[in-house]
Amino acid sequence: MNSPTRKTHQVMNEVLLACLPAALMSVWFYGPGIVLNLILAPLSALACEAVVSTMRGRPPMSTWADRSTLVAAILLALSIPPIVPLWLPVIGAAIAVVVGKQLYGGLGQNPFNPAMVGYAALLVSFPLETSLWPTQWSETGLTVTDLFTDYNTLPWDAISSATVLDANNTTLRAGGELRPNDLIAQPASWIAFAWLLGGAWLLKRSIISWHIPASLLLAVAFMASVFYLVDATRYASPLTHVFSGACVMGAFFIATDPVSAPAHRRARIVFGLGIGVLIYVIRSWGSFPDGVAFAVLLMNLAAPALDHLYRGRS
Amino acid sequence: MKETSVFSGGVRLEPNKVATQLPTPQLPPQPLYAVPLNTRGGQFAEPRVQVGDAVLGGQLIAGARSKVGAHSPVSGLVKSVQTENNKACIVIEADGLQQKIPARPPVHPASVSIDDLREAGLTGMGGAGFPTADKLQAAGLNKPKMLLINAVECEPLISCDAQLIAEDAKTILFGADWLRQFSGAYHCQIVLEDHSVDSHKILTTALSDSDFDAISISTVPTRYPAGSERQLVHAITGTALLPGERPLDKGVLVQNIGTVHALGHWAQDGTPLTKRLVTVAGNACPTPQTLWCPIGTPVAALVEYVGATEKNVDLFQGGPVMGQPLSDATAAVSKHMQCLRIEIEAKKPEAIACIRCGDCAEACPEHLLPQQLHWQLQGDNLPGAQAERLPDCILCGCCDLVCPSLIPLSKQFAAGKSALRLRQHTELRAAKAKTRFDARELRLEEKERERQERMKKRKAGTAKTDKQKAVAEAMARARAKRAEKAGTSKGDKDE
Repeated sequence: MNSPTRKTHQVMNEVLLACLPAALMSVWFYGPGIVLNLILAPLSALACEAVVSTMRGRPPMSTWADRSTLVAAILLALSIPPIVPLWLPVIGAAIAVVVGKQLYGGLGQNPFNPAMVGYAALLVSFPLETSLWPTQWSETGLTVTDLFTDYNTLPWDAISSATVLDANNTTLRAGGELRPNDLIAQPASWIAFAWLLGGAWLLKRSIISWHIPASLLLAVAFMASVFYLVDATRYASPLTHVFSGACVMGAFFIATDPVSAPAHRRARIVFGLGIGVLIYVIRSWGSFPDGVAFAVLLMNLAAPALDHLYRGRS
Repeated sequence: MKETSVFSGGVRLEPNKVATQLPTPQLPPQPLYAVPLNTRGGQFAEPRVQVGDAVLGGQLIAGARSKVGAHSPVSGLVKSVQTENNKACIVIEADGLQQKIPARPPVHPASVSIDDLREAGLTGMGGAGFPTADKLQAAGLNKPKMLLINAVECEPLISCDAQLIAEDAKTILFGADWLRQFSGAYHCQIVLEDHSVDSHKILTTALSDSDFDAISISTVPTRYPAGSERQLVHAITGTALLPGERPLDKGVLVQNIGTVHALGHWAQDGTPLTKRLVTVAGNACPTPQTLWCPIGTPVAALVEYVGATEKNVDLFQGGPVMGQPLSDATAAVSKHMQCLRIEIEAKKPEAIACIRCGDCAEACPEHLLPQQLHWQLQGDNLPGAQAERLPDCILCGCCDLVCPSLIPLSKQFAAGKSALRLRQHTELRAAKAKTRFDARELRLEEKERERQERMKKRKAGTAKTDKQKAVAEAMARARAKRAEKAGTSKGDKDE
């Protein structure tokens, strides 16, 4: 009798499906580097999971079957730049799975979003490799074999291109004034739009509820609007904030991870608002150009407390 | 048909009802019946017969007055009386004569007391098995305005209510109006699921042939668990019951249609509750059907009757959602056994970890967060589970039905609920014992103090008298001496 309309691996399959638009869009702009990341990160993640599961005395295949590791690895692969040393996605996925998930007891037990644990570890350990974004693949003039050559010998001066947030950060540090960004020209805005599409699919299939994405985006937009109205030369517009960096991806795919988010509806709204505010604070006054990973991890830390505060209410 | 609003949550399930058939099949007489003495709600009926006693069908053999009565389903001899806690029963060896206690004329609601109903052995027949008299006693204090007759068999397969309506709508209506008068309700609604078209037709015809003006028929959408008391009241009245609120607090008395039928029977001629309809189904049951079974019929007799020959089967009491495995193959039909499922032994699908997807929270008709309850109970955190409103869980099993990780949630919640009850019970007992102990200590202290005071007083008293005595003695001695002296001188004088 116990035959639910969907099983856990089906939920994960839907999430993977929802990642597809953003993955395709990324490949369209950034070329084979993305494909390489999308192969290396899951391979590393699944291998690490099999090893740790065996060490923990569990069948290695059982955790493969639920697809959750695959989801984490793919989200990680889509977070890092398209051209990176080959070991970077491998190490990131290993940290995500081993430290972010298995050390806490595996599926359903991790207090932090595993993909973001891996990403944050890479971000603080390899700041150069994780922040150096190339221009669109067609403009780099690179070939696929260049991806396998030494990372440091690539003509970075020619092919690197600052992201919107990076450029803003640099401009402000140099004491300059911000100019309105042409979002349409940015690959990141198109990719953000693809994430939005995937997020809408997740909402429609009720894989996620609206509470976290809505409150998160609202908080970012609200913070950005207030400061934009105060001083448009020092603070970027709300649209820039929402459609650059990992904001949309974070709102629909990272912060909504039910394992590391609160369960109570009101707690979820507070959780989303918190992440949104933190994203804005880190972006505007922190030393990192984007803050989604840290904001999510910080609020993950608060999720049990939020659930405790709101328990017994629904 | 009067459409009504829906309750929140729940799951849409295919009814898959077992077809009704007339006349209702009847189980052939059995040589032995084991009449259970325990009712749900923790009541135990004291046996009133001894081994070797001859009994008639319908004769009271246990309980009555303060406890729900139990009656012999057949005439025969009392073969054994078992009073161990979980298996308490009285075994009757049938004599095959089918002699019954004499019928009595119909009784009027006004001339009947709660204890009479208790003696009639009535309990809720929808699966919960709560003593009817206790419910009506509570109703008496709450003055219900509306009586809801629950004929919403929301669990798939089970079709006791449909069978009962097909067979004896007249007694149902009689019982419903009798109960309405007894409880003082102005109005009585018989509630069906909207897919039970046949039952609706039969009841409507029977109602138009009768002169019961205060009875009406309504339907609720087919959605599990519409038959649960709280959800039924929500669907009919349009507002949900608050946590801890009972239907009676809203002026609604809910009774199962089977109970009402049994009550009608008893009111008509004094027949106590000694039989019930049981739906026998399951994938190892070749001829699914709903049949009359005397209370106490061995389950094995039912399995044999429906022709289930499969060897490796699991038996379940209750429907596919809330049914519980029958651990004991020698179990007997109880007053709350609506359904016996005979299923081919199957390996349970293995549960995986909870990913807190929240599907269970969507399905929960009581607005609980099963994933949080699961989390708390996994850590044996009973206070935490209580804070997440574990006591409000109605154990409907909607969360089990939708859990993508196949976690047996309601089983865990049932265990958690009883652990919580036990804990509260022990805490209460400990608190009572402490009060008693403190009172005793105080009493002893008081006694001791009184004793000491008395001793002191007595000591002081005796000390005083000693002194006085000493003084008195001394004075007496002095007086004697003086008298002696005087006497001698006097005597001298006298002499």
